[in-house]
Amino acid sequence: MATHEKQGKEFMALYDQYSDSIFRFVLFKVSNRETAWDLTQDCFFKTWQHLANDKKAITNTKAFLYTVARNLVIDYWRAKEKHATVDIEAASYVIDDGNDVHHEAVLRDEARYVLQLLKNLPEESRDILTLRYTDGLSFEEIAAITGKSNIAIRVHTYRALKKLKSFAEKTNTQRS
Amino acid sequence: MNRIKRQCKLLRSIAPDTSRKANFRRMLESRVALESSSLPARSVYAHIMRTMRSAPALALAMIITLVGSGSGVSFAAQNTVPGETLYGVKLATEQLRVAVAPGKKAKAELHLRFASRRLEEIEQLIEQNGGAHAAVSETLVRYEDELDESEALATHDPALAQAITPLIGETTESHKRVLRRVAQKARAQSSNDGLEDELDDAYEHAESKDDAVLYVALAAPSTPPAILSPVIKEKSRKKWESVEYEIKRMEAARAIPVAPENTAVIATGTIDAFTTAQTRIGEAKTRWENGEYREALKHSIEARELMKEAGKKENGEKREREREENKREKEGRDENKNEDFEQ
Repeated sequence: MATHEKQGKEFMALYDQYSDSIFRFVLFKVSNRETAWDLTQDCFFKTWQHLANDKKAITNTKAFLYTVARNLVIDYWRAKEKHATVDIEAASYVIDDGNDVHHEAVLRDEARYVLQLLKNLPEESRDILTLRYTDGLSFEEIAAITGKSNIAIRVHTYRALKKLKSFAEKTNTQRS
Repeated sequence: MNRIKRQCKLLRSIAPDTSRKANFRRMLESRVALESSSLPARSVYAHIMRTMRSAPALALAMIITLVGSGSGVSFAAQNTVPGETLYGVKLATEQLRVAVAPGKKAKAELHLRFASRRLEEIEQLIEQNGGAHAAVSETLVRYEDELDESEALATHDPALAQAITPLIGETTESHKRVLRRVAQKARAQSSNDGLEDELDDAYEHAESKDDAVLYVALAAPSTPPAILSPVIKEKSRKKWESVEYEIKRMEAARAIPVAPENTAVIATGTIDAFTTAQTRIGEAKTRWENGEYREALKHSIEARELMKEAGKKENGEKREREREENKREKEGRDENKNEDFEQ
């Protein structure tokens, strides 16, 4: 019985650690907080079912979670027959972290600005940059999620960063 | 590119509604508890780890194959620099070495070693062919990535962070010296527009990774200040001391009387940042004396960032003024020439 409890606790630890990241990953693709949360819940249910039924060995749990989330988003858009875009207003809603309204407003503005920049990139580049720099995934994990090689991901990241930097510079010039 | 990376990090503040998250957690937990009672006695992690066991063996086999079948290809690749044919082999071999390294500490050490290699390559590139900007720039990103990977291993592991703190400190210090040297060499070359900024970013990156690992090391709940390693306490002290020194130097530079036409040398927007930096470093010192090393480090990092921000603004405005002056001088010279010509 103790082992069963341990197994459940380990899965719940996965939920505590990755639920925010999976929610963001989905939100940037569906641009609707309600839908994003529904799909996040589905993602954890499906992952638990997979682990519980022991259908097939999982070599990287984090990559597995993201892959399930990505497939759920694909199914969602297939049903809608639309393509993913980023709705900045919907996505930039920032969690209330206490009473510091000013801090929250600044964060929200910054988030909106970054999302605006990211909107200029193709979806794949957007995914890679947010997985790497927002959620801190390793290149190896991103490679496992996207099905590309580690080196290809490194090169893609570098190019996407350069593009984003040039967009940021253009935006700053226009602002000033 | 550090700024872009930091901005991407800000998106972490986007999260689901806390009450929904908690409600779903309760629901998920009860479902997991119900279903796990009918499962075979097996741990999720044990299950994952068992399947992972074959990965290092596979990687080792690949290294043996690569080294054996390549007739020294892998060995020859070790001295290559970006742009050379076998450079990809060098990177692939490094990744395999990380994959087979026994444990997180060994992996973190390897990442640091490979970061040092990237810097050696950058120096070689600059010396050999004037440093093709694209190749240097790409290698700098790889350098930062190696540091990131090393830090990421310690992010949720204060014990590991404590173990690697001395090494990461020593390594990043040596990196910063190399980066300064490379920046001097790059400055002497006219074709490296913008490279200095990227080298400065890499310098800041090295500094921030050292700070980040130290910060995690100081977070170990099982290690109250009384039994913290002297190395870690010392590093925390050195941090505020070095920032305090920089602040005093900046303060002294500001105290030098300036010509009336240059009274705008201290940009108005930087006064607040600089004053706040002074306050923060004072707080850091007090916290450290009270044995609150983590808080001391946090205040030192904030003070340094504020000071850098003030410095950058001032330098930017100074450069802008110099440009304007040069422009005016040039216009004056052109006018004189025209007058001479008309006469």
